[in-house]
Amino acid sequence: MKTVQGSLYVFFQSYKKSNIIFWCILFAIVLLSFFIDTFFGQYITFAMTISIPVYIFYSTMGAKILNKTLPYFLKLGLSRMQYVWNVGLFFIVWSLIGAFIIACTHKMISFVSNLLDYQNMVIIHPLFFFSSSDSFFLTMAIDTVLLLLCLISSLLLNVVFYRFGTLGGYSFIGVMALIPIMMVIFGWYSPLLVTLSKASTLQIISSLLGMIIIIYIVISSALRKAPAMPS
Amino acid sequence: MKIDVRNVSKLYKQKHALKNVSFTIEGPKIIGFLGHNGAGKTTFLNLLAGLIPATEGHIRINGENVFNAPAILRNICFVAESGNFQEDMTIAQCLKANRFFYPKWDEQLANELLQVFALNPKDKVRNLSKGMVSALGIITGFASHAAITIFDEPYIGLDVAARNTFYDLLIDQQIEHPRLFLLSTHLIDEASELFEEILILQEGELLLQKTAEQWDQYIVAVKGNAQDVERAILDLEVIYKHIFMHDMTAVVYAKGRAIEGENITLENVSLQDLLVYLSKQQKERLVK
Repeated sequence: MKTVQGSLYVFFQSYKKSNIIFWCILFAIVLLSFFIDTFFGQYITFAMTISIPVYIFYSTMGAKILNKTLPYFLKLGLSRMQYVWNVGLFFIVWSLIGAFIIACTHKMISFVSNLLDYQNMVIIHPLFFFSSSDSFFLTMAIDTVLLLLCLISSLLLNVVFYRFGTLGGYSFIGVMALIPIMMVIFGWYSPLLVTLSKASTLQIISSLLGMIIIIYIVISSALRKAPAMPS
Repeated sequence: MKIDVRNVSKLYKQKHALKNVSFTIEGPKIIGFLGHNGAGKTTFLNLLAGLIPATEGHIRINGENVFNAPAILRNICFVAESGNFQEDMTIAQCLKANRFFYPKWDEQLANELLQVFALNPKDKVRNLSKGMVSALGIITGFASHAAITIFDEPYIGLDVAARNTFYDLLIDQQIEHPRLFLLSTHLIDEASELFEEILILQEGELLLQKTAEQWDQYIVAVKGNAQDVERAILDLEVIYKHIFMHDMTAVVYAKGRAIEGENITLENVSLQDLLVYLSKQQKERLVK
């Protein structure tokens, strides 16, 4: 239990600064948008997205975590499986925090927009593709799962680069890039979009969670005998 | 603590870093782990700390395999040459983190040593000099009170005074909290007096393992007239030979045997000199 506490402490301390900087920049942009809207709102419509930059930021975080922390934790005496579990736990907590901030920011933007009577400010969120509801908890749930997926997918990429070197990593990216191309060529995207549009939010969240679990199992088995230095 | 190393080999792509190494060491003791660059010291220490898997063989501590075994690993503190700390954390945060991972962590000692090495707990690791990072590693090693404490080149960037402080601390700690210290260093002359046992690796193989007492009988320098020296060392394995005018100096593995002869003198060989001779021997072999 102490090692779990210790791992979370190290993760939080290591990523605290970059997260503070990121959120400060994001909030500054939001404020700037309000400012611009005050003066030019009558001429233009604002479309604002909070979650997409957070997904991108979390993906960059996940893509570096292995090189940054695995050697350190192995030196502190953690086994590889303990490391994998602790990283997973950190990702869950970090995604919950991220999703909470996103949901709060959405509510705040809506509140301020209503207060100042900004009619031309639109917030874009992936939730609106599946549901018309903008409830706090639903936004938080979908963001938690999407942030977790971003973190875990980029961790998988980090694992591939770590285990198989630059050549292996880029080959993997190449293979992954083939998937959307194949989808277009064989027309798989249309049934997929139909299925997605018919699916309920709950179904989408569960299938994303399923994907996360599968990716995490792959990551766990790839790290079972990983050395402390990348290939 | 008993470390049992059996037929351990480590292959990096095409290069054999360790070749079928076997030995046993038992503590508490201060052990010098020596060898020239590329001898396989760091590879072995990484294996012992469970950082990399062995290609063949196994390392057992008190009978248990060390790789991916947290119960064993929490008794090992490995202070490597670099990468011991997270750069975004402060010294105070690093020491606080250690508290969670080392069950016998000595907070008081850590704070005392911070003052000894004049480190500011609020400083970030990223902003520390090389010497300061080394000092933080030394503090971690001693305050961990881990049954096996490994120092791999622990004092890079530290001045003579700080290095002497390290040696004094090592002796004090061994008296107060005896444990198995493994020290790998290139500053052999400075540290050789501390070693109770010496292990020397050469080209990935264990060249010798001797206690400090056995050392002087095991490796000897024979000096004198070239013909007399040649006669005296006839059946012995020669590490290094040097002829100047009619005089010869031969460093040999005496292995406890008495060396007799006329007009010869026997001298002890320091650890540092031996490593220089071994390095010369290796170069000669490569040239041939």
